[in-house]
Amino acid sequence: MARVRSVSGKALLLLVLFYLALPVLVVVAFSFQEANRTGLPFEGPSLRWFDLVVSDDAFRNALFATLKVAAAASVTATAIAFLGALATARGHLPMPGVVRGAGLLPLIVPPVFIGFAMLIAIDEFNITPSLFTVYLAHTLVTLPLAWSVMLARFDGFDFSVEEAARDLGAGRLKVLSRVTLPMTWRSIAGATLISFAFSVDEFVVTNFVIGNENTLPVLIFSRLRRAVDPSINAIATLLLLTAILAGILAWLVMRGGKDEEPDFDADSNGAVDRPAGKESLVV
Amino acid sequence: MQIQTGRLTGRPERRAWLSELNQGEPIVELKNVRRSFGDVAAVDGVDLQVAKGEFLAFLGPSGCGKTTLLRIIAGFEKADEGEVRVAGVDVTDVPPEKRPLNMVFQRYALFPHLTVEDNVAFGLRIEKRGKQETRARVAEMLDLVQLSHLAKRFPSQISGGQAQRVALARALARGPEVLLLDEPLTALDRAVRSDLQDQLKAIQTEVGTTFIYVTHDQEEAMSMSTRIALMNAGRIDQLATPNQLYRSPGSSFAASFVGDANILACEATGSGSIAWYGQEIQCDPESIAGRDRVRVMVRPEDVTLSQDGEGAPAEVAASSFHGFYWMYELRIEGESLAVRELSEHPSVQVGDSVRVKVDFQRAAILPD
Repeated sequence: MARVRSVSGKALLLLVLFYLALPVLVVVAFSFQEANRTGLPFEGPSLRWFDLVVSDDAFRNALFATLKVAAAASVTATAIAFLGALATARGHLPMPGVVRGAGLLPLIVPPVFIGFAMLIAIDEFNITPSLFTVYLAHTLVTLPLAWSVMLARFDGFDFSVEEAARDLGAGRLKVLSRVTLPMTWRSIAGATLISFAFSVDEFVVTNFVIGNENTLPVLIFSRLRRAVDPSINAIATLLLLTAILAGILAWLVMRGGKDEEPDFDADSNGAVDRPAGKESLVV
Repeated sequence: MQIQTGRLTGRPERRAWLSELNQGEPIVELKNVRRSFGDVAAVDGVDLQVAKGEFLAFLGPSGCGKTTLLRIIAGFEKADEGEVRVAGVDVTDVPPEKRPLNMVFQRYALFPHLTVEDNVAFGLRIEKRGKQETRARVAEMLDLVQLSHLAKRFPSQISGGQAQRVALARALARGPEVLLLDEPLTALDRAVRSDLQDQLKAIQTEVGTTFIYVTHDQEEAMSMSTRIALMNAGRIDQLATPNQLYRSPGSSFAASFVGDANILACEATGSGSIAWYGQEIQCDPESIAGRDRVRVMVRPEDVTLSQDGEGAPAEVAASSFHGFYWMYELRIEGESLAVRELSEHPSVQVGDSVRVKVDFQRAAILPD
């Protein structure tokens, strides 16, 4: 990335960042407010609202539901993405370009459309909206994230290591468990965490298919409609924290090496190795 | 001038080789193997018997089917037709993990998440050999490729030449009947490559395993192998020792792919002799029966610049220096003729008129 040099450029950059962060900071700050209102002057700090929230059954149920859905959906989406990207990269599928694009489609289709379509679809199949349908919906909307991570991993993946493993006596399952999975676990973990973070705060599609249940974003929205209650600040802050933690974890895991991929350019920078006593004499 | 028969029969003595081979059971046997990709026949009917302990090279230009053939032997490609036998067993429908052979890949294909010693141990652990035995075998293999000091390194921490030696140790660890090598040195730079050629040859002699070696580099094939299967357009063009291949190429493709070759158009003068610019050569009448023009292959080192004023008149069109020899390109009536002269200083200049003689004792008649 080019560095911003001029003073005015730096100022503008800071302004934009401040603008982006301000609403978030306001919510986080007021979640520590002592007074029973969201507004200045600031009183506190206090953990009163967090206290209230944590002992609130509705909140606890919604939190549990959110985590349950996020865990199930992210694992499912990543499993689909792993297998799909593997098959695409190996060249087992016809029209790989179309398949690659199809996996990203839910990212392009507007969430309102997806939510509406899913609502009609589950009604058609006589399924009652519930956390299960939320799980189905989240698997769909998080798939593109896991898909792009896994596609990137298998792009340029040298499948001769799989052949080498087979050549050395490993059957298909052993190739998977001893070679392919160990070589790609970072991307798999990263894809799962990113999908998890996305699922935790998904609202639009969720709202269509959730029925009588609550996830945290839905809970916040329904409470907002009654009154602006400072406990919402606390819930939102906790939600933010969960997503950020998952994001940081994903970044840490994937940063720890773009999975292990050997780089054999060493020959040219002095690592040329010859057995002792075989130096040739050039006159 | 009498030309040795046997060399001038036009075709190499394949039958002789086969019968020699048949004294022992062939370790790899291919019967009429075919494989097409779409309309393209990559392997177009190959019959081959590989003797135990031999170092056989599949040599040919890219796209000649040599790698496909190797992968069919390994089991990574299925033959559309034909039969593959290894150590007397029909393995045509056996998956690669169950075949008694191992492979060294062009881009090493080491497991990046495993150390050097774990890479070498991989096949032994799959086979569930004992811990003691595995450790001893890994140590033995690393010693064989002189890499014991790098046992704990990861593939990303070693050079390409070292990586290929690890791959070799890994492939030999299970003691395969046959080792398949798919252009193993192509990715390496020149100095490392020539070192590894020597080591590969030495290791093959030491362990006695049959090596089948794919390469497009004719010098590599010539210097390392006991026999060369020269491939062209999905078929084995010629199967011969390096010397036979160089001296008695069975086709003009073989003549020009292996080494430098002059192909001379000679006239048959009847009674089993042929003529080229005043040089008359007696040869095996059978080899030129029914032909009035005969193509003869002669190597540039077997053409000499005549000192006594006799021989075909020619003009020097170009010259180049190659360290210990000079190459001249001569023109004889519009035809070009390459001459190799072992000397440090050029004996003629571009533009000189010279006379040349061909040593037909060392020439070979090509089939039409």
